[in-house]
Amino acid sequence: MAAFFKKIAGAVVRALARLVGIGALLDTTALWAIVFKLTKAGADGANLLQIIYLKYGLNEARNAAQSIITATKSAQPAALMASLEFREGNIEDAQQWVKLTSEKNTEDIESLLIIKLYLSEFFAEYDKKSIIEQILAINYLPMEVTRIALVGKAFAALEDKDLQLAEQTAERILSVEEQAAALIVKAALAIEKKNLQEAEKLLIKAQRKLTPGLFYPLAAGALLCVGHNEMAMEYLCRAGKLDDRLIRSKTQLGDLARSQEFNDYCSRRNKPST
Amino acid sequence: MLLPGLIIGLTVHEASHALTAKLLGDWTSYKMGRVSLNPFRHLSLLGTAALFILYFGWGKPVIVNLYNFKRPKLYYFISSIAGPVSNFLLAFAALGILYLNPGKYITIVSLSIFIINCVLAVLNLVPVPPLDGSKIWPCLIPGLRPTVSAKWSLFWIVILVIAFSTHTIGKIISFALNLLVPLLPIESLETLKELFY
Repeated sequence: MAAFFKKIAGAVVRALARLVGIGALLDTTALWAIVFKLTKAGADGANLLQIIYLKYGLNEARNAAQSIITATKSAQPAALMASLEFREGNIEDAQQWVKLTSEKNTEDIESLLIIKLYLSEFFAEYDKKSIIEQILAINYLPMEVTRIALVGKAFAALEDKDLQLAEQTAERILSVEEQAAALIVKAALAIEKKNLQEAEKLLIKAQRKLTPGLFYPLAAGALLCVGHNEMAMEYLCRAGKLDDRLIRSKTQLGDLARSQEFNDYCSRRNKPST
Repeated sequence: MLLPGLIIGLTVHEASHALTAKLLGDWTSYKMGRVSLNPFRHLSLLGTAALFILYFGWGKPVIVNLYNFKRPKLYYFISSIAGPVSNFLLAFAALGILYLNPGKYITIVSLSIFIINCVLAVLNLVPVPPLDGSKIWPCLIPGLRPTVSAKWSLFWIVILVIAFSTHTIGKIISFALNLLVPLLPIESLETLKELFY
C-alpha cells in the first residue's frame, strides 16, 4: 500500500517537475530528487543525473550517481553516467560505470548495450558482434539504438568482406529512412563493384546529411573496410582535426589515424594532421 | 460536455497505435506502458493543459521503432491508421448506443463520444506532422520512405498553426461532420441542438 502511494506521489511530483521545467528556466533538480526518492525508478534516477549534469556539470553528476545507483535495481542511471563519460571522452570512466552495474543493478540491463557497443571499439572484453546481435534481438529498444546496431552490423559485414550481408543490412536501414551511414556502406559496395559514378552519387547524398567531422571519418572507415587504404587516408585527412576517441579506438580506422603513414600523407597534402 | 468523449477518444486512439505496433512486432510502446486504457498513460501535460485553455487537447505520441517491423512501410501504415480507425469504431459504437434510445445522461456521453471521435479520426488523417496522416500517406505512395525528416517538423507545425487559424482544418472537420451528424437518430439530434444552440 505504501509503495502504491509513493508511486502516486511520485507521479504527481514528476508532473509538477515537468511543468516547472518547461522552457528550462527554473531549476527542477530538487523536485526530481524527490521523485527519485519516492519511486526509486531507474528512469527517474537517470533523469535526475541528466539534469544535474546539464545544470552543474559532470563532477556533480558523478557525486550524485553513486548513491542513486546504490538506491535502485535499475541499470539506467549507470548507463547514463557511462554515456556522459563517453561523450566527454573519458573512456575508462565510462567502462567503470558499466562495471559498477554488474551485480546489483539487475533491471533494465539492456540500457547498457549501446554503451557497451561503443566501448567495444576500445576494450577487447566487449565482443562487438555479439552485442550487436543482442541489440537486434530486443524488440523494444529506441529506434536510434537499433539504427546504430544495424550500421555497426553493416560495417562489420564490410570488414568481413561479407558484401551480401552488408548490402542487405544497408538496404534494411534505407527501406526505413535515408540514413547517411547506410548510404556510405552502399557507396563502398558500389566501389567494390567498380561502379564509381553510383558511389560518388551516394557519397554526395551522405555528405549533405552530415557535418564534415562525421562524414569523412565514416566514409574513410567504409573505404578501409573494402581495402581502399589510399582513398581512406584521403577522406580521413579531409576530416581535419580528428576526434580523440577515434584516434584512441582499437579499430582499423583508429590504427590508420595513429599511423605514421597517415601523418605523412596528411603532411604531404599540407593539411593539419593528428 | 465534450470532455468524456475527448478523454475516451484520446486514450483509445493512442492505445490502439501501441497495441497494433505490439501485435506487428514492435514492443517499444508496450514496454512504456502504452498498451493500456488508463488515460493517465496517454494524456500529455501540455495537451491536457491545452484542453482547458484551448478546449482541445492531444495525447502523448506513441513511440514506434520501425526496424522492429518485418515490413516497415506496410506495418507502419497499419499501426498509424489504427488510431483514426479506433476513433471511427468508437464513434459508431456510440451511434449504436444512441439508436437504443438510452437515458439523457448516456445520450449526452454517447453524443460526446460520437462527435469527438469523428473529429479525432478526420483531423488525424490530415497529412501534416505531427498528425497521423503524415505517417499514413507516405506509406501509400510508392517510392516514398515511411519516415518524415525531423528537420522539417518546425515547418509543419507552422503549417498546422496556419491551417488552424485560417479555419482550413475547421472546414475539413465541418465537411466530415456534415456527412456524419445526419446519421444520428432524431432524438439525439434534438439533444445535440439543445446542448449547442
